[in-house]
Amino acid sequence: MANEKDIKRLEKMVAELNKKVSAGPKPMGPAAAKPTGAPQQAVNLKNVLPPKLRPGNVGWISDVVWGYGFNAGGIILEPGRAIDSIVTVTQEAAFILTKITQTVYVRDGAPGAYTYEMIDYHDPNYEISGAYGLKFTMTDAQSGRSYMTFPEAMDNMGTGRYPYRLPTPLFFLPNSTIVFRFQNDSEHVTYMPFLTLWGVRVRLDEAGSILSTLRA
Amino acid sequence: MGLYEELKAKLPASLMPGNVGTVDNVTWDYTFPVTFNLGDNPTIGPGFRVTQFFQVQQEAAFILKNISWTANTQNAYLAPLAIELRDRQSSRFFQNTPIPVQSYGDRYLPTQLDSPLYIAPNAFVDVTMTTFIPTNVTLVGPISYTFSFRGIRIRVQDAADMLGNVFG
Repeated sequence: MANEKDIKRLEKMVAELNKKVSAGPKPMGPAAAKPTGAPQQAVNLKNVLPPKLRPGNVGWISDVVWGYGFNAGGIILEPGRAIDSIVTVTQEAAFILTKITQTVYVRDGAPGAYTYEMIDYHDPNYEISGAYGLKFTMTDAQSGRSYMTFPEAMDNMGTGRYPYRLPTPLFFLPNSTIVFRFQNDSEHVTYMPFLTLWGVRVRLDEAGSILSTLRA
Repeated sequence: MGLYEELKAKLPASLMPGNVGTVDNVTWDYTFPVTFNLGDNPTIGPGFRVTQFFQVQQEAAFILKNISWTANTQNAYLAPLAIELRDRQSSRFFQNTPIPVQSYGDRYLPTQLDSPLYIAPNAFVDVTMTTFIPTNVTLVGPISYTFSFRGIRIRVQDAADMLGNVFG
């Protein structure tokens, strides 16, 4: 049999539950909490810094953007040969490509600065002839769509000093694949080409639904 | 009228200095250099890997805006080396594979980040130099590189709270 103390305790619990019910449901998601930590700091930085200096990696975990580079190439390419290099955008986040740089190394057996063999950077800022005969194509693997009609000369891409900036940024979904085909049409020169894709990563809430509307 | 208000009234926004204002709102230019001294006639090849780092001092956070590098000799400038950047706190890399050194802008033409990167006070950034060539190569002469990570410093009030939330 319940004593008076138990009854009072139950009455108190009922009163608290009634109070909660009358207050209505708690807000869910980001609205549930007053911004603190990184989200609040993002607001603070926005107030202090000019737009070009505001860091992208401060804020809600789903809203941050951060700089990233994808490398393609890095394969020794003998004269007259072509080889594919595949870049896969990792699942964590999408990629927005903003600029491209090329880095070409040359290998030959001629005596040079190195005792074993000569593999050195082919600096287009000084080499008037450039990387003669070295070309590439870039293809979106999902759609098979190529971004160029004919293979493009590597010399037409930018360098670390002067990157080639795309007219408009190019978007790639998480898990998407870009295929680069490097071909060496020179007769005597062995190259080791790299293309570096610079841009930012961004997380997507709606990646699944974008798939059906994406151009690619 | 304080100095901040006076300058704000007289200057266009593009000329407003960052280091004038209240102590929590000022920003100032800052560079973290990272040096790789490979010595005389170093041999590089598969397995070559040297890691350096920089640590942001506790006083203020760092917003990384651009990266550049310089080499001490022509041989160093042409060498087939690459670097990778990693946030030590999260072990997160900022590239899929090491990026050739020459893909970064050098000296007075640095690589500009499309989105400035916030690095918290006390945080470490690891910079690893490696190579992608399949055979050993001996570089001739003294070989040394200095990478400069440039940006601004800014004080943050709730840095401790951010560690759990911030991506970087």
